[in-house]
Amino acid sequence: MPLHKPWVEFSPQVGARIPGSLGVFEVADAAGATLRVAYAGGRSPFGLRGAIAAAFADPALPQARLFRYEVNSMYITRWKELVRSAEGAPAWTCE
Amino acid sequence: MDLRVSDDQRIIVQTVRRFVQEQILPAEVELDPDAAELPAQEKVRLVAMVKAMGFYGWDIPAEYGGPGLGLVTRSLMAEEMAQHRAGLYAPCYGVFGGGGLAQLFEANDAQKEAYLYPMLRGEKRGFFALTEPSGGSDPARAIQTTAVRDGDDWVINGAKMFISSADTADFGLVFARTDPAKGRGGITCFIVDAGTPGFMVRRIVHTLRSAHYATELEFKDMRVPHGAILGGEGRGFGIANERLTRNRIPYAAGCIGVAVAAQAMSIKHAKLRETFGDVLANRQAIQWMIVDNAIDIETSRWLTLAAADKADRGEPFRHETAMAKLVSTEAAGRVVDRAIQIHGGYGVTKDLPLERWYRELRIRRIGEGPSEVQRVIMARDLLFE
Repeated sequence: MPLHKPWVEFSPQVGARIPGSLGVFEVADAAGATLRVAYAGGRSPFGLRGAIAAAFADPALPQARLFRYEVNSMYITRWKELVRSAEGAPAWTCE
Repeated sequence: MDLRVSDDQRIIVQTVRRFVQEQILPAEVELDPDAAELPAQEKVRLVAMVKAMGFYGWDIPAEYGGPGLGLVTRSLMAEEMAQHRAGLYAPCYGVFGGGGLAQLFEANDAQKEAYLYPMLRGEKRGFFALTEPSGGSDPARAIQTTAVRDGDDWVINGAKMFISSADTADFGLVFARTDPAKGRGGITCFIVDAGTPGFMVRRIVHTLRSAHYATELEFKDMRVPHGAILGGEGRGFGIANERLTRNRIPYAAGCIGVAVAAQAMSIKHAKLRETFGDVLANRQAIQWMIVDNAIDIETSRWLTLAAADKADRGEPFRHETAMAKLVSTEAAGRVVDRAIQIHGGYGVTKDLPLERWYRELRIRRIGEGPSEVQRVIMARDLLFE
C-alpha cells in the first residue's frame, strides 16, 4: 500500500517537530513527484527527524521541497513495499 | 542411537563457524539492524567463497548438483549459520544458496526444466501457498480454495494468507481442493506462474519478522493447464506434509543457533558487568539463568539431532521432529528472554541483536506448525498408532 498522507513543505521549523522514531519517508519536488523513498532505521541517530533533515541537506536532491512520513517499527519491509510501489508494481498486484 | 559427530562433520561445523565469524559478522556491522540482505557486491563475493568451500546449495540433493548432505550434517550447519543478527530468517544472508521449494523434486521432467532447474540456478523464485485466511494448521480441512476441471484446464478460485514474497516471485505452488468429498486426499498442488490472469497479490502483510514480509493472495477464475499439477491429482497434502515435516528439523536447528549466540553474549556480559561491587557472574540469579539456558540448548540439540538421525536412517521421524520443533522453538524463546534480562536496558535496544531475535523467535512457535499442532501430532502417535 502506498503512503497516502498529504505532502508537507519542509523547513527547519517543521523538521524540528518530526518525531525521532523509526519509520519510512518520501521526499518530493514542488510538484509532488517522488524523488526518494527511504527509512530511518535502527542506526539513525535521531530517527525520522534526523533522516529527513539529512535528505533535505543532501546536495544530490536540490529540488527537494516536500516530504511525508510514517512511524513504523517494521520499517524495512514497509520500505520495500513503498519502493516497489514507486517503481511500478506488477499488474498482478493491487497497487 | 549413536550421535557422535564424525570427523567430516566436525570439519564442516568448524568451517561454517569460521565463515560466520570472519565474514558474516563483520559484514553485518555495516548493515541496518533489521536488514535481511547484503549489498549485491558483498553477496557475490561471499557466494564465491561458499562455492569454493563446496557448500553452495547446501540442502540440495547430490543428484541435482548439491553436496547431498544428510539432515544431521545440515542441522549442525543450520545451527552455525544462524549465529548472527539476521540468522534466524536470513541465515548467512542466503550466501549458501539452497533448494528453495523442495516439493519440486517431485516434479515431472517438463516441470523440472521449466521451474526446478531455473530455481536451483537462481534464475527463478517461487512461493509456497498453502495457508489460507481460514487457517494454516489444519490444511486438510482449512483449504477452501477450489480447483474445478474444465476440459484440459483447471479453474482455481480462493485466497491464501501469510505467503512469503509472492509479489516478487516468478511462480508458486498453490494447493487447492479438487475433490471436496475426499478430505486430505482431495487436495492437489498446482504450479502457477505469477501473472496468470486471475492471480492477484492483494497486499503485503507486515509482521514481527524483520527479514521477509508476507503477502495475501487471491485467485479469481484463474485458469491453469492440467499439466500444472505437481505430483498427481489428490497428492497435494502428501507432498506438502512430507516436506514440511522434513523442514522442521533445520528449522529447529536455526533456533538453537540463535540460542547459542544469545548464551555466549550473556556469559560474556555476566563476566564483565558489575553491580553492587561484584560481577553479574557471581550472582546466583544470573548463574541460574545461564544454567537454565544451557539446559534448554542441550535439550533442544539432542532432540533435533535425534530426529535428523532417524530421518537420515530412513526410519519414521514425524513424532521426533514434532518434539524437536516444539522444544527448540520454545526453548530458544526462553533463552533469548533470559539473555535480555541479563543485559538489562541494552538488551531491548537495537544496538544488540537480542531484540530482533526475541521478536522473530516468537514467530517460530507458530510457523511450520504451531506448538499445539506438534502436540497433536505426538498425541496421535502416542495414543492411537
